[in-house]
Amino acid sequence: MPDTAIDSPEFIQTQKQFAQSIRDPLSSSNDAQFEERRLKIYRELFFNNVEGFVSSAFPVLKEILVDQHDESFWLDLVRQFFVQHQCETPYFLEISEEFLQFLQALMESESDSQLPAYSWQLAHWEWMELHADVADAQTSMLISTLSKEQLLNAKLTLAETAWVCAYEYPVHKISAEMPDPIEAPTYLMVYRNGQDEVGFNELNPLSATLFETVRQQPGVQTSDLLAQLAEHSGLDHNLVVSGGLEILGQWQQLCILYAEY
Amino acid sequence: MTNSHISGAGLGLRRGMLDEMAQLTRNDVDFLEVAPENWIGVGGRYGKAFSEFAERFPFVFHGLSLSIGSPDPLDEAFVRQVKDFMKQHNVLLYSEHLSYCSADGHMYDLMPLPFTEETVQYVSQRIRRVQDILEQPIAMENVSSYVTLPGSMNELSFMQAVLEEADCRMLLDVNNVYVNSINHGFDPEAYIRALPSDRIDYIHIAGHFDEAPDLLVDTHGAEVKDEVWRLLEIAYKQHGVLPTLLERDFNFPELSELQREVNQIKRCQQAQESNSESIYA
Repeated sequence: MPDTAIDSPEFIQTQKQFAQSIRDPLSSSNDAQFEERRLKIYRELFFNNVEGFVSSAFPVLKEILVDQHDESFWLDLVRQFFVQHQCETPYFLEISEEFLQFLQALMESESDSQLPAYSWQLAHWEWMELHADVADAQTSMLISTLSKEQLLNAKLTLAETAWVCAYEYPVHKISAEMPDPIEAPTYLMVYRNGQDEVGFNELNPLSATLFETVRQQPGVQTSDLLAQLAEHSGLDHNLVVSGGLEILGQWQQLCILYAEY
Repeated sequence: MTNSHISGAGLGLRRGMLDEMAQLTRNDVDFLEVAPENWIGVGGRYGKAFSEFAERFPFVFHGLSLSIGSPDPLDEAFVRQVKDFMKQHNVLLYSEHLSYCSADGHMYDLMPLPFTEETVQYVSQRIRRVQDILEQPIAMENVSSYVTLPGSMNELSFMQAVLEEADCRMLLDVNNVYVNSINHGFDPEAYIRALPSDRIDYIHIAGHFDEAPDLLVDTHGAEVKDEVWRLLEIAYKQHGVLPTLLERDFNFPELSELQREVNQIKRCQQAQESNSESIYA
């Protein structure tokens, strides 16, 4: 890689050095001879600001890491993020996404990581709950409840305010009190309802498939959808239909499913 | 005055104070300010609340992430998102900081620029590019700082040169003038008096923290100090009564406490207006 710092004008080099001395106090020199107490103000303001954004987005992960190690383990992790990860987003709420990217890369590169194996998945879940609250997405309008026959003949579309995530751990149950979950495939649906409240449901694999199928085939007719599902799962057709209608009715009530009849 | 759509005294709108601030009326505050970076692409309850405020109050946008003086490339896609958001909510004024907040990636806080002729050219060319994309001028704010990066100019001459070279507007932060006058040892009154009146769009006022007798920190977390109120009067006398916004970002007091300071801005403006009337009476 070309070293652009050598070619760039002096004022640019000055700026980059100053930024680096804020990011990484331990490995940067104070060439410009700034008064230490003045440099310290920048270092503290910047780091505390970033740490505040990360802590508020991932309170559970932070609490667990502080419990399992200590406060400085957490601060070192955030420092590593601040030093190593080039944040591209200008948006403050998206700093959490930058941290997720950093954490993923870190866990992939470190075979002897001191982070719990579920760390990224837990962080993703914490981010998902925040994302559901602020995402620029529309719920569906609540329509009058359809009879089962009507629903069976309706065409289905999912609103943008519902997401299903698959995890290898029950991330929604992990906490400082329960920091050692048993590995188990977990499907979580997080949604924002018609009153703009965020909630989540644990789904079984069949419901998760139901959700994904409607997401991938907007406008699918309910009877076709449930027939597909019965065929794929090998389960009893009537059971799939009765269970399916029930869960689709619930999603309608949450304003995350639009059923056009 | 170029910005006829705002006048009087304003307050920053923050996500953490939405419920309390919902009770505000135009009798309480004349305009509101937000960082577009906190609201662009935000839906749900926050997005709806913002739309409601934007229908009830005139807004100005005060950006944080433009990083106009950055070694990193200008994020033109972001500038276009700001432009769209301004259109969507009928916001006519966009201000930013004459500083940088990224170098090989965003750092989410403000660093001072080296005051050199080269920097003037570099940053002015970027300001002009932003103004071309937005199809309107932007206002650059004088920022507080705790160190001076190596350079041959002083802060005032740097600011004056950029305003001329970029042909842009200015947001005068009187608290930052005061903070820097202590931190870097200059005369804050002379600084304010030397600014070009016809370029100033509006004023910021805020509290700061006294780290040491010769080192103040611009925290936006305390009430406005007497010295800063005095500088506000001087700014009004020199440049006329300008729309003025109270900044408060940390240590939120009761809304009534902020209202008290907003009212003090209004009184300051009224006193100055009646003074200038009496001159012509």
